[in-house]
Amino acid sequence: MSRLYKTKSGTYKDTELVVVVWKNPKKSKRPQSRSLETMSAPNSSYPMAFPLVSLKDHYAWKSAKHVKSSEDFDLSIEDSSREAPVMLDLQLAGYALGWNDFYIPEEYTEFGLNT
Amino acid sequence: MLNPPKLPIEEVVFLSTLTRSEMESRLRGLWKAGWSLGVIGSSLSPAVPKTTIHFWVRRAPDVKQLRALPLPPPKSLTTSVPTKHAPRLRSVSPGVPPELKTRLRELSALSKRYRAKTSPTSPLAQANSELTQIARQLKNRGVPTAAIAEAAGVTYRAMARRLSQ
Repeated sequence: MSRLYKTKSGTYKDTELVVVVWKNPKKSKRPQSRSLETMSAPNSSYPMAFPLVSLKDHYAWKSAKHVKSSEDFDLSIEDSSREAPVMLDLQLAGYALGWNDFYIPEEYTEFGLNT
Repeated sequence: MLNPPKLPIEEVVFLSTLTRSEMESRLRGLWKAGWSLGVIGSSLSPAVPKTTIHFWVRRAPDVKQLRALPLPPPKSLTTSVPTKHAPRLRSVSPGVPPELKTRLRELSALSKRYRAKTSPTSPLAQANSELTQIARQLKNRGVPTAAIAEAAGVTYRAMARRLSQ
């Protein structure tokens, strides 16, 4: 069962939303830094979920790699950067990174359930 | 900002084929589309100061661009100071995957009965060894020691000591 979110650009299932992460560039200089970076909202510390289709069309994320498995993520994250991040489905982010909470921007209003 | 964004290479090449007035109008279009003066200036070869770009875009007329303008990167990637409404960069740590939490709890419960004199082939010693191995793998993936300790149901100090062995 997946939730539906209505946005300005269309309607998406939660399976069509992704989070974008990359290796923290500061980690190599400061080992105590957190290992990853992501996008979040000014009022939320949770990773922000984006519709996959809108990221694919966006210049800034054109080089992003969409990973499908935990192993794929482990291989890809080492070479990732802000310019070439890794995209994960919300379900995989929960499975591979232990993240269960995400920030869905305000304009995404849940309006129904799709079985 | 460690790696400031640049205009797409195809856009820079396209700019180099234009006349001066066409280029200035194109730069004005890019600026109005959201590209910052600094990013435009640093993308050109040779780089041009943003004050010069500002001068050019202010004097250039608005011309309809037949070739599509590239979308600018999110504000968060172009400014070091967070903007009010734009998404922000945030450093994060991975957590313990849910399927490992149960396993860590089981191994931790067995490991509590492990002693130095315990036979290496006993289930307690094997559980202790496996717990250390999983904890190290998680640590290598960037999971904080506190999160591993919480998942295993032990104190931070106990987990930090195990990881430092």
